[in-house]
Amino acid sequence: MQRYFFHVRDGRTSLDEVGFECADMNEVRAQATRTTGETLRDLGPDFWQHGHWTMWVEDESGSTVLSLEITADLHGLQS
Amino acid sequence: MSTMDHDITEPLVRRIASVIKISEEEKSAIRELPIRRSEIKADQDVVREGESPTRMFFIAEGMTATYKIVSDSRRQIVGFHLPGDAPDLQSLHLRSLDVSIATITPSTIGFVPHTAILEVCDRFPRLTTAFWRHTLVDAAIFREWMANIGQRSAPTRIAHLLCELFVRFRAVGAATADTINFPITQAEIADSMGLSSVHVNRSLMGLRAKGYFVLQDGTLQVLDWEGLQVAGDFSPHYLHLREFGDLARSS
Repeated sequence: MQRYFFHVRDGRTSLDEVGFECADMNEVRAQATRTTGETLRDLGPDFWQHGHWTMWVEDESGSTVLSLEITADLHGLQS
Repeated sequence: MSTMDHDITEPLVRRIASVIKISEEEKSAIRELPIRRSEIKADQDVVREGESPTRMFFIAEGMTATYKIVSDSRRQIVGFHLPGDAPDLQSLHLRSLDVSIATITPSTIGFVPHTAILEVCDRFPRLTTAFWRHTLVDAAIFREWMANIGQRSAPTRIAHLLCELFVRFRAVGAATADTINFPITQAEIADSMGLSSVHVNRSLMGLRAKGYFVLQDGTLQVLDWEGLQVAGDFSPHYLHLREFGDLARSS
């Protein structure tokens, strides 16, 4: 088990100082996609205020092992 | 192991008295049930889905999680039970269990033969009502959980769970004014609330930062009960506790 740190930037930056132990990279990826999905669900229409979500995961040595980005595109329509 | 153990029935007596007013005679009948006491380590199944028990159990000390394993071995925890609760009470009338129940801490469990429960209920019909009400309140909690998981955001869901456990622990006297045992891990919160552990972690950080509670070393200290209830969209109504008055007519 290794500890991974799941940081988020979505208008403001929220650094994970606690981290979470994962058995392998598959679990890291699963946690990242599930957390992203669950957060987008929580945000609902509020997501469009910033329209951008980035999660990046660091291992204990501080190396980024993956990142995930969701970007909204209004295609020029403002309302 | 003793077959009769009066002390361990006290949480059960308190639990029943928290949902319905019972007489001293009825309390004595519960204390005199033939009970097989069992000390069970943490994270052990007490009963498993598919089994057909001939006895029910109640928790004297500790906590259990009721769960189902779904499709790809994922675990959904559908409820937590505390001292005094009888988590497999339905086995009295439903032949095979549709859930598994595991300890989440080292627990003292009292097993009672179904025949003894049915016999005491024949003698004291009010105890039948008490056990029925226990089951109905369990069902009300399941309904609330469904609404919680289906519609509330992760932080609201988690705050709601903390509120529920705080009220339930207090109802059976297993709490100080502002602190309860909270042995539930983040992974168990995740499995109960339908969330990833990382999202639970992030949500808890957000709630902590607002100063509602301190959660550490297996205890939950509530600092701002009003704030936590608002954050959790929580009202204790669905727990149908006598202390909140909605069952006052039955006293």
